[in-house]
Amino acid sequence: MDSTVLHIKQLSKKYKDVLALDNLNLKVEKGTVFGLLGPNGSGKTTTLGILLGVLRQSEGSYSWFGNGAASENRLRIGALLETPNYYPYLTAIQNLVIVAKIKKIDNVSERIDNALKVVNLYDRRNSNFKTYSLGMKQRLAIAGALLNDPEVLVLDEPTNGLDPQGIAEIRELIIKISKEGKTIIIASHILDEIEKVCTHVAILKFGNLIRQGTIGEIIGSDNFVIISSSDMIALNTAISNNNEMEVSKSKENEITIKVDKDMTTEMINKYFFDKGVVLSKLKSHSESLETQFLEIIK
Amino acid sequence: MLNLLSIEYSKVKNYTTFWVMLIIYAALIPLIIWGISAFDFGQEGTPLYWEGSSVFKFPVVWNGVTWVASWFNLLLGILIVLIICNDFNYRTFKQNVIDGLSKQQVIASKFLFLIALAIVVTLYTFLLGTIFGLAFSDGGNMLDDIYYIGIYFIQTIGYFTLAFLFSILLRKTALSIIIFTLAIIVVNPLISLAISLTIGDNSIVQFFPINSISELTPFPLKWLTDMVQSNPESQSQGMEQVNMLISQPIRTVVATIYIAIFVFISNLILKKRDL
Repeated sequence: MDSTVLHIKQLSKKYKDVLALDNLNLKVEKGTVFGLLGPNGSGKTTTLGILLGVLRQSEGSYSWFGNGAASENRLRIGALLETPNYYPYLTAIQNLVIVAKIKKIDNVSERIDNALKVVNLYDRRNSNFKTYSLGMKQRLAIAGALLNDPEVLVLDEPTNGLDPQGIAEIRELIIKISKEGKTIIIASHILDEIEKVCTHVAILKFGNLIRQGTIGEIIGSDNFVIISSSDMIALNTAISNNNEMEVSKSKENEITIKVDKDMTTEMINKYFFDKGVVLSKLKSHSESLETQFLEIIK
Repeated sequence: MLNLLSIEYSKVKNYTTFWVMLIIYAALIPLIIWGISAFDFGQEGTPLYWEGSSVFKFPVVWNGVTWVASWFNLLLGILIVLIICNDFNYRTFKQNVIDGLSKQQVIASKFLFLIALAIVVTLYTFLLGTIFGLAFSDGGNMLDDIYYIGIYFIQTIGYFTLAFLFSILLRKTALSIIIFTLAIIVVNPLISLAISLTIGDNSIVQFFPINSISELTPFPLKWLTDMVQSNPESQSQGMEQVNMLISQPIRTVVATIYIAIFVFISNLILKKRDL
């Protein structure tokens, strides 16, 4: 059994004079929570739009479940792309009935009730969509994506418009769903969100794939330590004499060095002490995805 | 296929505007017929009175009812524009595809709905024709001209597919309604009139798309013929003009070809364009 859920080959999308997506190659394995990162206009939504059949790629191909680009694949996917798209004059239930018919779902009313309860919209199930706040609309879209209990969940900026509590709830939900062995693909520019839920990350910029790997590979490969000493000259010399250390940021009275992940602060302290440099400051500084991301897309 | 139709029905089931417009359509036709019938039978002794003929007797009633119903095809066309543009405005075409329909299915579901609506309104005119026909005559030659009902079906499909094409092209509700309406009630009649006057007859303009579709249900000529025959003084060159019209079968074929062209172009546009 092939464990690849999604295989993207040399995918490109060209609008009139903009290359929105340039030769993207990606593989998403079953059970991963895959984060698609990138600043605004980097091609995240374009990529998802192509994968979900609403945009036509200029070149390249993609395959869901090893079954190409067939529309039936999407019956096994739950997706939320850009904005929540529903009929304003229909209620939450009436809107989801349409989704259920498209997805060919059985026991419709039970599924709809469940999905609405999961996103905390059950009390407003009979209100028209147009009366919803932005956050509620977003919740309904998530309910729509969850309706068919999909094998793959594709979420484009899922916490858009949600309040902090709503964001935390959706995050919990994503983690819960991923624990059921489902595959989740999330596009977002909120890095905190990605860092907390994703196992794998791909970073896009101007339609190009810049980095790809497990979240550990992206943020955890290096360890950063802030050090300081009364003798900064000797400190600098000691750093340059050690090829396992690299100056990352240098200020007047403190230096951030990049060291191997296996190197503990104790080892660092000992190294400098042996070199005759006494550290007045030694602080481990774990790099967040955010700083890493800003570094990468520079 | 039934699933696609059921999806479309779910979209309009609770759409008030849809039902209000249908009710207006359904109420206006019998109202107009009732009005015409009052004029039709006239008062004995007035110039409009003639004996034995009525547009609402079998079999002329089929022509009469469909002729009256065709006045409101524009209204139904606007309804189609509304339904299709809604799916663009609310981005629900897009959502339907995301949820698992193919683009072809999205197009097909709209066409199916459009055909279903055409069937419903055609059955309604059949019902009205039967009721008025039976009210004003006996049912003896009831089935003689019943082909008008079939032709009315083709006509509504013609208006619907044209509305479909405009909606696909323009995507904006107000713009589509305005251009669709203007094309039918202003632009086409003016151009047709100008060309007819220039060349001296309507031999060419009757092959125009909107003309060939709208003239599928012409003014009830039999009614006119009966009227003229009952009143020999008024036999005029008007009849000669009338005789120049292309026959109903040819017109039906021409209209069907236009419908095929509308469908083909709409399909092509939707296939080529991103949703």
